[in-house]
Amino acid sequence: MLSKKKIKIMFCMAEYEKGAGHKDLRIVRFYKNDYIRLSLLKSMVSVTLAYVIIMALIIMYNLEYIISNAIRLPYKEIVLWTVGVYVLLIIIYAFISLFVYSRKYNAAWVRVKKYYRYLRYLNKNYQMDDSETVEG
Amino acid sequence: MVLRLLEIKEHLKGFYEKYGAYIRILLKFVTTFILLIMINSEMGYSGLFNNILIVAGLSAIAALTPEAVQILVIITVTVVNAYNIAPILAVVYAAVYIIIYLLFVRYEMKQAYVILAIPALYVLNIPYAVPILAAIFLGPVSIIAIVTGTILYYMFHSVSVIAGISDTTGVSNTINFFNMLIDDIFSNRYMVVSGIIFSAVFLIVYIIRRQKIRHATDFAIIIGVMVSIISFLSVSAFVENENSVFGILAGTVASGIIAYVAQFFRMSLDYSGTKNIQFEDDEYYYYVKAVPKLTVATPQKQVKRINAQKPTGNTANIADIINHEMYDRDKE
Repeated sequence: MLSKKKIKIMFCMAEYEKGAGHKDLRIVRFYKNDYIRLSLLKSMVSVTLAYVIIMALIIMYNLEYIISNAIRLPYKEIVLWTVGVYVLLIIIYAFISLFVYSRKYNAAWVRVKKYYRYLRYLNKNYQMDDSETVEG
Repeated sequence: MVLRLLEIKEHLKGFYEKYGAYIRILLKFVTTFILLIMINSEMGYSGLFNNILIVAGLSAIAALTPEAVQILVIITVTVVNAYNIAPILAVVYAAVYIIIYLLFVRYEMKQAYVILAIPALYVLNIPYAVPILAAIFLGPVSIIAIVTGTILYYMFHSVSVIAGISDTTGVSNTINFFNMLIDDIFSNRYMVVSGIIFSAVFLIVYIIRRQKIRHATDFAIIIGVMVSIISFLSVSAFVENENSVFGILAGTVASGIIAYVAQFFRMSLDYSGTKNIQFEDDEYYYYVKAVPKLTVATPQKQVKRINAQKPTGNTANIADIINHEMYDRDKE
């Protein structure tokens, strides 16, 4: 049977699924810890890639100097600096990702909880409708 | 005046609610079209993108696809233009965009608009609007986008200056071109100062607009504009730059007006307008069209009293009614 309230709820749910819900439902498929861990991993890959590109640009800028002084360059120091900055960048981005993605997960979870509540309500209503038809 | 503006706002709100989807497509088309024309006029080294039909076609693609595509189209046009100056420059542009995406934009996609808005509005001499608007509509993370956008603008600017004076053929010239570009960007003191001023303006506007006082946002815009004018004018006296005093004054005031207008019409843009949603259950398919109820303000009627009769109905002044009632009661 058609019910105004049911249609309103279904409309809200369909609208949510079409908009923010699409992303939210993908996020809450994971447990919070798993989602954050996966996002951290993605961030690490991104930072590594960005760092490699930055290093390539730095090498390109100093190419002339590097070629002319290839034998005399303090390689040990350069490697230490490169690795040191990389580790620092990774640590900073780990904290940023932790903060950003845990907030994202919490926000998504609040919205999805409301969506599930509507879903339970609808489910209960349909079950009641079914039992009424069987009795009738 | 304010009433008239409020009325216009209500009308616009109604119009937007009715035709929201089309307006968004049209706005995306127009912004992409203007941006591409601006890019071509500033760094129009590609014959392909100087063709107005191609520009219109790209704008149409951007208008009909998600926001990310619009950004991708704009970025691609700058890279292709850069390729026509020197292939190495296209590589540098692409590398810079990828770095910005990987380290920043992937966390908050809408910041890409803030980054691209600064170079675009620099061309129109109103970049001062970006920190104020970002402080009103977005969070503190925008400060990174503002600084990045400023660096990006000066990178484009340096390219157009160096491309005019240097020969970019041959490998050694290419490397030289790249080195000249990096040197020019990092020796630009005005870029550093502009970045600092924009950040300061952003912080001031952001802090003031969050205060729990009446008209906090209006105050924030006025103070932001004043800080911007004073800082840029005083810096111009000490640091070499291409801006004139009049340019700074006019640009900042225009930015303030834009920010004020955007803030005034802010509410009307919160509405998503008419919605068409389809869903189904076991028994039915539902095709629901939800149309927001319109509340367009009608012009207020002014009632002019010709003679001093006992006021009646809703045109009466409440004080007059009380006075008359007290007078009647005294008589009784």
